[in-house]
Amino acid sequence: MDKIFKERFKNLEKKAPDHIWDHLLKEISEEGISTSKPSMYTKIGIVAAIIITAIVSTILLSPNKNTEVDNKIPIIENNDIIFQNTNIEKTITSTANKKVDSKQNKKVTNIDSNRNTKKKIEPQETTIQAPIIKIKQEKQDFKIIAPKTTCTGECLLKLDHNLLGEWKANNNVLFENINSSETKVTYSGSGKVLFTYLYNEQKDTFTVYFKLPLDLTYQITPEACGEENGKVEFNFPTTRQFRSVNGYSLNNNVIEHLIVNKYTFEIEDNYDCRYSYQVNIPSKNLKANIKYDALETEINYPIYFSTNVTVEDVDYIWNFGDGDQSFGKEPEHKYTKAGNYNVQLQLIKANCSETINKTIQIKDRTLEIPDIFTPNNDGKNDVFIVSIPENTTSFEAYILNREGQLIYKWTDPKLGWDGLMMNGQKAQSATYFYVIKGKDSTNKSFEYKSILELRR
Amino acid sequence: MKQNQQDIFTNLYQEHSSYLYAVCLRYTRNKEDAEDIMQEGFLKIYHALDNFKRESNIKTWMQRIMINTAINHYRKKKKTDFYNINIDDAEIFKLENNDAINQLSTDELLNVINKLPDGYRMVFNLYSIEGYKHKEIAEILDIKEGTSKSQLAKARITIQKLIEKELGIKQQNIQYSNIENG
Repeated sequence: MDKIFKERFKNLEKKAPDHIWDHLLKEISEEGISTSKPSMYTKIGIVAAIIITAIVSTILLSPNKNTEVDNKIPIIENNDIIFQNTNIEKTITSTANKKVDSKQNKKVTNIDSNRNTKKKIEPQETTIQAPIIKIKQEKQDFKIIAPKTTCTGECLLKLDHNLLGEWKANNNVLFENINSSETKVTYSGSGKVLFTYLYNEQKDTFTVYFKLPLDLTYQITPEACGEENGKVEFNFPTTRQFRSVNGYSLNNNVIEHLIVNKYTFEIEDNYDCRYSYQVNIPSKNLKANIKYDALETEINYPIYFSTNVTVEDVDYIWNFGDGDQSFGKEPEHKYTKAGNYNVQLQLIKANCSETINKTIQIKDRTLEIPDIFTPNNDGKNDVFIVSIPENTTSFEAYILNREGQLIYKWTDPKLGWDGLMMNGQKAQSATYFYVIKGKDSTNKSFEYKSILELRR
Repeated sequence: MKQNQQDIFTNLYQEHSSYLYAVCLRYTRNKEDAEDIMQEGFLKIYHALDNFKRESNIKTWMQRIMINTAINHYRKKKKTDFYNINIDDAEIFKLENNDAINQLSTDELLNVINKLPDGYRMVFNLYSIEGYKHKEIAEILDIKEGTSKSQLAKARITIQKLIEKELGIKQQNIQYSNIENG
């Protein structure tokens, strides 16, 4: 029955459903997930950059004064620009007035509805356009456009007009004019720097926060074989506060529950500066040793192998170095030839594996001669057998009685002496002498003489 | 390097997946379990590829991982029951109905294997099809050598019964279709 089953199944093939491969491919390609995470971030960054440049360029390029005015308001708020701008105050007061107006008008609606509607439309049109443009055109106003924060030690300051004015700063900064409206600023320190542009007794100021690249150190805790317990611990400087690590919650500067993977962490500080760190979470290998235990590390003796792996659900593949394999946790193996063997153990777990090696020296069997035997046919120790090394080429054994007479001899080591003398009689319980002689494969001869006790 | 490993893996899958899937089917109760094991096993293979030593046979190595995965799968689910029976009884029971087996298709025989209790199925597969010795099976399944022997005996008896049942159903079906056609 077994034979038929074996014939049918031993080399049977069945096409695996396609979705298995699809799933595997997904799992494998997710290995690269860490690289896709940061790329998502950069994507967002790029998109953000495009949007920002788009806004900036509309501000810069737009010939329409209306939009310029509209955009000006938030930029001023953001960038600490101190305008000599009575014009803005005026706008605000004028809008405020109009609001009051319309409120007052509402109250009067009942009295004269025609007049009322007229007034309603009028202020809406004038608020945005008229007052500002007029004043602006009178004075040649300019403003600085620059990022509020820079994280690299340099930034580009721009003016919204081509002017031949002068840059000033309250710190030791290096100005490098690119053209009449653009200047590259380099600052080796960190912190707040106030920039002023002077032109024709007019000025605009702008504050930039300079941040130096963050020198951050961190410690990595590897993931123990599939346990999802990898860790990164950042040593944040106390001088700055850190807000976020992309997508990972940050508890006490530690990011936990990481698996074996390559991660990119984007850390943002309280100045909106982002710092990117590539962190590789390695696998804590299945640290283990090969151990063995044996009465004798000799040929044909069972050698008991074991390992001190503490992780559960591990597959074991033992290669004993002589071509034999085993898959048990603690296998037993016998070597048939003397020599040095490299024992190899592969430990395989869900998503990590480890190979450990150990050399074992197997000695040839040494000569073993018992000093007592009991030829009473009880099945135990009935024959005097000399165990000899594997490489023995010639063998002779002699038994002598106390008188020195030869009573038995043999040359086949497997046969031994059963207690019968050459004359066919049983040898009595007594002490005898033996002489064992021979040669090994290296032509080295040996000779042993000693006492043998026979007990019936 | 990583790409290279993926390529090797893809080739291995293409070359050996059919064989290994058949192995999985043999060690499980149903297709769903076989698919789970196949996926889990292949992931192990993927991650262990670095550690594979060229001197061993990759097919055997992969099969080994699959079998281990299957064994662990059932071990995790429930401590597999290894019923102990008297080995002497089992030795006496030597019902060899090879004709009956030959009348069944491989798929039908696979069905029989699937129906075996987990412990029987593992031992039967390992011993009769894979050709492991009881001592090795005892190591793999972490059971006593005697248990492995008794499992095998019991598995054979169960297989015989299942085959007869399967054959009975088959013959009834033939008769039924004969009646219909006739």
